[in-house]
Amino acid sequence: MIDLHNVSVEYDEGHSALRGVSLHVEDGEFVFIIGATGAGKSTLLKLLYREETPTQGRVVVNGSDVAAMRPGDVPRFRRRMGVVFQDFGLLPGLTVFENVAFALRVTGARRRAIRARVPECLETVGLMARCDAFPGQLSGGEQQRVAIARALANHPALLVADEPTGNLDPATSLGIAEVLYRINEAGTTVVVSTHDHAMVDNQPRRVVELAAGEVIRDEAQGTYQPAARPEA
Amino acid sequence: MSFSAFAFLVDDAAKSIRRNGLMSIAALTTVTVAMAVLGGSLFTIYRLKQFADSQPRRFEILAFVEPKADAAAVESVRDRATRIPGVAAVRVYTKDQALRDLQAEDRRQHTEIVASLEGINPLPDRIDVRVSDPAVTVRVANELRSPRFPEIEQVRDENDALSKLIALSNVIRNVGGAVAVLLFIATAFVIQNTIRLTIYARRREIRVMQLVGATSAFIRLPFLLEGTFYGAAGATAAACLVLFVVSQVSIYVRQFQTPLTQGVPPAVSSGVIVVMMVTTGAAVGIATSVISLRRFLRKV
Repeated sequence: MIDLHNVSVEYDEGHSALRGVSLHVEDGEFVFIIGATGAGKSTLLKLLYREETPTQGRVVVNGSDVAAMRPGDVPRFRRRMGVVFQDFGLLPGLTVFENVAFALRVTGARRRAIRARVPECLETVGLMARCDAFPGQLSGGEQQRVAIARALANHPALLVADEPTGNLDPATSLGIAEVLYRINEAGTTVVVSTHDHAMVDNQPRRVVELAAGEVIRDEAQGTYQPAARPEA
Repeated sequence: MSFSAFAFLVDDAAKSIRRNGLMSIAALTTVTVAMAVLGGSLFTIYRLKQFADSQPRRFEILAFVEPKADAAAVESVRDRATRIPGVAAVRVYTKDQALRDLQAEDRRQHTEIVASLEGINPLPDRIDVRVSDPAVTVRVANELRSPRFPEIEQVRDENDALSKLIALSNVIRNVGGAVAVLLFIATAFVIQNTIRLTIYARRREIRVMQLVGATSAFIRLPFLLEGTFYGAAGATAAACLVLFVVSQVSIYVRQFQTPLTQGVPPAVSSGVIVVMMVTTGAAVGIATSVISLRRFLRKV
């Protein structure tokens, strides 16, 4: 599913965001990427949906080499994954239904297919009842659920979430985590970057910790703080 | 691209135009004004050029044959003049016809010039030469003055007036062309700026489109349609404005009909003006949208 081999990302100013990162994620895995601000979490996720390309090393996602990909192939590559952001990224002028349908419309899906698929996605995140509401009428947690529903619209094999609970209170965050677990249990690979201790510790999953652009920990059933390291 | 996807894009472009109501009105107004100034200026330049170009055709070269020359000599001059390259038509204005015209003028003016000649006709035969292109007038006149036409006593070609008109025509073409280019650039700039603002206003939407796997063409097409709409709709309104002004000016000018305005070819039809302006507007809209998208979409 995901294969990073000795990956480095350097920006023009000479700053290294990632240094020699190697990581393998199997189909159907759930992985938390944790680390302090500036550790390289977002850069790693950007590599997965080809917002960034590696300066060095190889990134393979869903069988595609990210660096070797032609720009014209990027849209089809992205249709096989869903991306969720901290700021939700919803379109305020569209209803909940239309926001989810948007992801299908831009890929040229037919109306009948859209009418069938959108309710399924909204049911998965428990928001079918609010399908006619506008984002401004929803709470933060509900908005993030809509964003997740939109990410699911194209039946992605991989769901990438960059700090999905960063703007939410702890109780709502756990609700979002539950949704992500459910999606993972249905077979979708999920990669989540987070600062949220409770979310990571609630149901121990694989945890990959980054510091200064390097992987410093990779545990199959990890917690936010390693057992050997006292909490700062 | 499927029909439903295309319908979605057209709907998307229409929604964007409606959603950005004030900005759309501002863009349409600006494009209308710019296109009206461009179209109006080009039409004025075109009509002025038509007028200036038509004037030299009025000027014929008048070649006066020696009074001693007989009818055969006059015929010979006419035949040889016809063969000069650039000559469109040659007409003989005989001394008898000239005298008859003078008598008619005497009657109109109540003068007695012909009577005072006591039966003598001192007027020469005249060859009126019309050229196919005003630019060759001087060459043809010089040919008629050359020793190859010893029967011709004097040639009048109104060279000064002709030179001024040709110079005027060239000034209109050059200055008008430069003004038209500047106005064209200004119109293109207005549309480009509008598209840039639209892209900026919709940057969030574009970002979402990119992340959910919309193709580049899919993202660009609504902006392209929007740019085409601003160009074509603005140009349509501008064409109506230009046609209205032209019709009003025509009514006014007709009141002052002078010989100068006779012989000026009619202007192109209203339909041609509308089609030309709308096509130009749409083309400018498409071209500037493409440039804007290339320049600004990367920054979103």
